[in-house]
Amino acid sequence: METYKIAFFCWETLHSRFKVGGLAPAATHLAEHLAARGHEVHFFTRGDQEDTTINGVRYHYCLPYGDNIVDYCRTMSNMLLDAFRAHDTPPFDILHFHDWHMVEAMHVLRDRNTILSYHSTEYGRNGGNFGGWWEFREISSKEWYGGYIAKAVTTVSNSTKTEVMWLYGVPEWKVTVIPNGIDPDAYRIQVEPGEVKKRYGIHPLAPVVLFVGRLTYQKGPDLLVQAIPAILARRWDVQFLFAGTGDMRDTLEKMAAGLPVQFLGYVSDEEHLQLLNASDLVAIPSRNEPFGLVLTEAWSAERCVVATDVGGLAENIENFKDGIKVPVRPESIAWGICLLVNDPAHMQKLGRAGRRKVMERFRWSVVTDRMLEVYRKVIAAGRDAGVREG
Amino acid sequence: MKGEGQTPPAVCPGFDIHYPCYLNPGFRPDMAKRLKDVKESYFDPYLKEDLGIVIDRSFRPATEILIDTLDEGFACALSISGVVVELLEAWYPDMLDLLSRAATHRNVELLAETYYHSVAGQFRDLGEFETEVLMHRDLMKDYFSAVPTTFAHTDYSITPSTAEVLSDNGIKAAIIEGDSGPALDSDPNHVYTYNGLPVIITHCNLADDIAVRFPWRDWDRWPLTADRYAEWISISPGECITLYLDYRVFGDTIGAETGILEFLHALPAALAAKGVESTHPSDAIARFPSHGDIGETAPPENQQRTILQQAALQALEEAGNLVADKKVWRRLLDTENLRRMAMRSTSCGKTSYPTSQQAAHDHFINFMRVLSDLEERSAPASRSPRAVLSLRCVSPEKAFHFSSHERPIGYAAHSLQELVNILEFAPDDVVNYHLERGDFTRWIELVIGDTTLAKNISGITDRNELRSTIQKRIDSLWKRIR
Repeated sequence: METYKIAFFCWETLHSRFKVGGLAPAATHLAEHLAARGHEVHFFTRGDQEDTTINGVRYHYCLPYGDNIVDYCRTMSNMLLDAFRAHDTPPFDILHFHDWHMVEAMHVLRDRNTILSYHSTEYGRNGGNFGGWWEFREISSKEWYGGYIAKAVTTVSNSTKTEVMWLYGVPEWKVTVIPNGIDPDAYRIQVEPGEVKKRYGIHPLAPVVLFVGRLTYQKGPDLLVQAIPAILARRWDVQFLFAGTGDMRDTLEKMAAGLPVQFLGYVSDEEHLQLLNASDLVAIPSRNEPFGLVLTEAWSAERCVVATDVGGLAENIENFKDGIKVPVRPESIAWGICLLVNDPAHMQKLGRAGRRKVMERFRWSVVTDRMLEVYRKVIAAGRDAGVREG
Repeated sequence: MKGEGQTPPAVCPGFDIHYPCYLNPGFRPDMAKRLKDVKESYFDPYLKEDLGIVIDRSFRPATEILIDTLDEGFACALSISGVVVELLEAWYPDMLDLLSRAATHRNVELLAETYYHSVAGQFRDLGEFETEVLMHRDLMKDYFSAVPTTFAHTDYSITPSTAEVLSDNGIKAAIIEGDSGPALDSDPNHVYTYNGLPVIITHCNLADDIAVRFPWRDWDRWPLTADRYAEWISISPGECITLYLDYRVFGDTIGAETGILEFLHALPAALAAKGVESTHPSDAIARFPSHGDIGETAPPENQQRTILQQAALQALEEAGNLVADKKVWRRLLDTENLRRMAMRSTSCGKTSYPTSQQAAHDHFINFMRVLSDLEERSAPASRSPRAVLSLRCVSPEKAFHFSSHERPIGYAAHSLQELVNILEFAPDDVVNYHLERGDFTRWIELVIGDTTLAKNISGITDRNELRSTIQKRIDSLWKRIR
């Protein structure tokens, strides 16, 4: 097999003190899986530590500065460009950029084999709204320019693909949908569900509905809380656990007074796994979801899901086969949960079907294969262009 | 789905013939005092009449049809509970004669089951389960001169320990439930072994096409004809389709006006026309290779049970050592009683009830009233009446209902043992709320009537100490009875 020399440009990684969101695990794991296949992967990112090699990936750090996010990213681009040049012999085969932060470096290197992955868009991060402030415009134009000069573009879901085609006029032939990968075995653990439930003061046989995620408007925790009375009217013993925190927490706690709800706040990875594997059903009531890692996590643990029919959730769930999709309304979420909660066998079946789907489509090995396919095409196209020019 | 020209699978039809001793929904302990035989008041006073209706609607016409088709070469399995044999013998001996004609037919395989169609297989102690399997075997020998070797699971899943008991008692194979336990992972169209015991799995979808969907006029496959159904079976993959159906589906729960009896009558010929052979469970297991062992090493935690079912099951098992009249207790073990305590949307060949939360709860209340009354009345004759009363369960209106300052938590303790169990996990604010009010001491003294224990726990503020004190008392009370 041909091996490539690959440069990752991503402003966050799991191996740095700068961590913002879901981008870090997605990019880090992809880099590690590529390295495990024998490719030489250099990860250009920010951090205050010495350059190092972790799990086969070579990290090059810089410490950028700037008064605002745009300036900050400009200095980061310049610093990492220097680091890149220092390692560019023999030349890199693939330059893979994640999100807009280093589009300026990409501009300098635009004749190389560049790939841009959109993990989200500025429009999506603002809850599907256009912002009037200057950063919004600046970032949006960087996202547009990146998509314009990149040799290939990937997005995490079809809805993000449509979004970048609509927002930035990226031609369809350039875009490949490659979902976020997951390590399914890291999410399924052996637990006694009853014992875990008892630790939260819950009867071992009470059905537990779990919500995992930030308590923000985008994730729709309020929709789930509003659905609870209707669920209890049909099945009195259902309990609800909310793992995660966010700006809506106070409001939610007030809404949920007197309901069988517990807000657990931030939970450790270990506790997250225990909860996931002990719960009966995972609710994903998001209003907007580019991909929905919660979904593949729940599926990895063979949990059945009731999710809203939006974005990546809508694309990846096959209704009544591996989960239940409902419109973004409390009544509908209640309906979906009631439908399943009295039918444990059905819940198990949906959960298992979900796990099978993860094994087929979302496992890192599958996702890495698909990314390599994109690399191969870009390299082949680059060679052809070289031949024509020569 | 298979392509044309391949051998269709065999079909293994089985019928579960049982009539539960329904509880008297109007039972109240004080009402019972006026009656000569209090036990009569536990069960539905119209049991005989209702059974007569079921016989007219279902048992008689379905059995007559079955005997006709058996004569023509149709093969099926019958599982006849001890309860239904007793009831028919007492009230409708002519129906029992008709049933014997079917049961002793050369094309019928008689199945083994628990005598009381009971939940004993879910107890921790399987003594009762084993006893009932043997009681049922003796009954089959006496009435139908047959010794069944294939066991039919009636509404509970197989576990490693029940499989062991069955194997130890001469059972060679089992029909298991398709919608729970190990069967969930397996394609039901094959023969398997479970910890060494050969098993076949009820095909829930195909079973429910008959047992549930047959009369639905808004079903896109309505009306279901025998030809179409036989076609579905004939193009199914695998070697063997097991259908284990509640006998009452034919004419009673699904009335004759829907054409269900004609369907039953036409099915054997339709199957034969499609080249589907009907066979006995034991023949299927002998003929088809096993698709591997689907056994488990440890019994999985039964998540399919609800809180009410768990409370009732635990109370039932404990009552086994408290009650004097085993026969009444055994009739309470009927799976029907537990089944009605939960709303379930699946059926898997069994009669499905349009239940509601309220109906499930009403049934639970009724059941616990009867069980509690039975225990109370057993006390005077026992070695230690005081101990029996302290260990008994109480009806939901006397139970200890847990609450916090904010709201009722939802679950309740119906006995001292259940109180200890709940104290293990009840949230701190809930326990403290009741401790502050002195509720535990009051309930134990005034409802359970154990003044000794009430004295022992008064003043205890630590939940663990409270638990261990009550548990010690329970253990010593059990010693007094045994």
